[in-house]
Amino acid sequence: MAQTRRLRLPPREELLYRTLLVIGILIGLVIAALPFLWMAVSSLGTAGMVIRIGFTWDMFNPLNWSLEPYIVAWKMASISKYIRTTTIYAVAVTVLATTTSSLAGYVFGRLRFPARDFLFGLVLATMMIPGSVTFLPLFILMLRLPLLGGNDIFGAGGHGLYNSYAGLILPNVVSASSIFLFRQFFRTLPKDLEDAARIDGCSEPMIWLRVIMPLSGPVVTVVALFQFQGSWNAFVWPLVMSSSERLYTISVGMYSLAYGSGSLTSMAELFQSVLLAGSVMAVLPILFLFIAFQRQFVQGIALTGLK
Amino acid sequence: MAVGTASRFQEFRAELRRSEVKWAYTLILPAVLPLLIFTVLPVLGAIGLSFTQFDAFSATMRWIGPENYGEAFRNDLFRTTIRNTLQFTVGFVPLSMAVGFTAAMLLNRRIRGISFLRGAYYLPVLTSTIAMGIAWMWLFQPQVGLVSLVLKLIGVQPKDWLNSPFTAMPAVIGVAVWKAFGGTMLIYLAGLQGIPETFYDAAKVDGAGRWQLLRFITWPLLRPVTFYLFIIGMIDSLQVFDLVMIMTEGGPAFRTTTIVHQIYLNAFKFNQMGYASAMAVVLFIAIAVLTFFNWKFFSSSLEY
Repeated sequence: MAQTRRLRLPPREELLYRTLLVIGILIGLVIAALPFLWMAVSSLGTAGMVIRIGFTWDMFNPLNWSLEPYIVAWKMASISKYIRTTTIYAVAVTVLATTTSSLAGYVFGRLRFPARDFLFGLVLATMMIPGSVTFLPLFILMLRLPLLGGNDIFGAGGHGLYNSYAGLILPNVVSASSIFLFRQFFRTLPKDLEDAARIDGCSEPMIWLRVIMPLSGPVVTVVALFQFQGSWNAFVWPLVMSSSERLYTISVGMYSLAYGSGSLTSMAELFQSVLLAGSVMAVLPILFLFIAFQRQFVQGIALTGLK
Repeated sequence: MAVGTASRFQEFRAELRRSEVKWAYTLILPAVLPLLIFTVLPVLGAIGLSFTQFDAFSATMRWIGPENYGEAFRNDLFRTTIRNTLQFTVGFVPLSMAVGFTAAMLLNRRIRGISFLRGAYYLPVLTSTIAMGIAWMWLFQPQVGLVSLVLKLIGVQPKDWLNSPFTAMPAVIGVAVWKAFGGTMLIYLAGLQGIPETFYDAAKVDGAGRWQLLRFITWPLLRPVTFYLFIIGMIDSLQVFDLVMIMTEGGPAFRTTTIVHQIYLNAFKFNQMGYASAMAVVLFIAIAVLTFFNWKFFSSSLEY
């Protein structure tokens, strides 16, 4: 195929074209990757070296590298706490949202019931409501939930689910776009399979669990990956929902470190390297996931991007 | 006998139907209920709150009618905010699309290592905006940052990029484009793969060159993708927040403050929740209009 597509230019022009192409690809690669390399190398340098000299070739000499910023970041700057909180948050959101969304996707894609189209339209409509519009009223809602967190029946007196894991996780237990993705996929499966199960007396949740889900590995993976990636990086909601370091996700924690409200202010000497070490640790889990599941991430974008 | 079997069968089917409907409502409940409570209700809440003066911590609320909207339209800072957000949009949308399209054209070929290259271009999209914002702050460091060093090579004097009124917004836009172009690229690549090879073959038979193939086949056929990216890019631009928070905190002197940043500040720093809600409603309307155009375009020009 590639053969038929190639144009027959005179050899010299063809050579020039190809050279330009390679140069373009390499420039793109440098632009995309350089900030990561710079971040990684700067985080390994000892503080004095990076701040005094800035960019030098010495930075790339492994003999000058030190893991001290990482140790400081992990122990003293609470990165370990942030990572733990983020892991709990991201895993909970991923498991819950994937489950609820696939159940709803199954129902909307394969069952018939009154008001189905209306309800599905409602789900689609919520897809266009972004978190940046809802985070403020949602914050008030969580703060004033009746009978929770010391609140009375009118939601006054206490602080509801503010500053709790439940408050952090609850608004993210379902994702409308994931429902849509699951529904589209489930509609392509043959109907005979579940009918056979139904005749055998299998209930709907069992059909979902035993027949539909085992056939849906790829789409489950895509949804779970994007749920995890999104909640790992989440910033606005954890920022407004947490008032103590205990509940800081990695993004909120890094923000508070950068602007001095964390516990790092007294370590100005290592400050920059420690911040960069924290950033590397915030990025690494996603990098590993991406290396392991690159194909699924790319497919996911093609699916969600163009419906 | 035959009648009995038939009616038993009917009964069985009716039983199945009833159970199907019952289960359907049960199983969508854990999805639909949270959507109603945590997405639909807050929108109604924002609209309601925007007509009040509200303090969430002491829970005192006073109805003041459309005063918050009047305040927004009189307020110089709100005007600055809108201008900044539009400046960001005007810079970010075309640039992220142009860079993404160029990257897609570069990487739309079957060569060794292509999936590694696509992955490397795409990686910035997946990473934490806060973490990469910190890395970029360091790259923009005035004396020793890489940006200053590179620009010095072409004779540009180093300056405090993120704290100068004329360079702060371009710097934020630049990082936003860096962070987003991989996504635009992947969507363009998906579009490119949907163009039949035969179109190109036919044009080549007619003697079309590379430029003409791009101009008369690729670009026109990618128009729906371009339109989609244009709208999505605008919707994202209107909501830019993380990057501004970490890189400039809206400064210098509000030069980079954006709508969502102002919503956040007014709600959580100045305790002006009613006023912040009015801004959220304005944002919601803008996004709803853009979404409507997107939906209109795609439901009229393409069958999905």
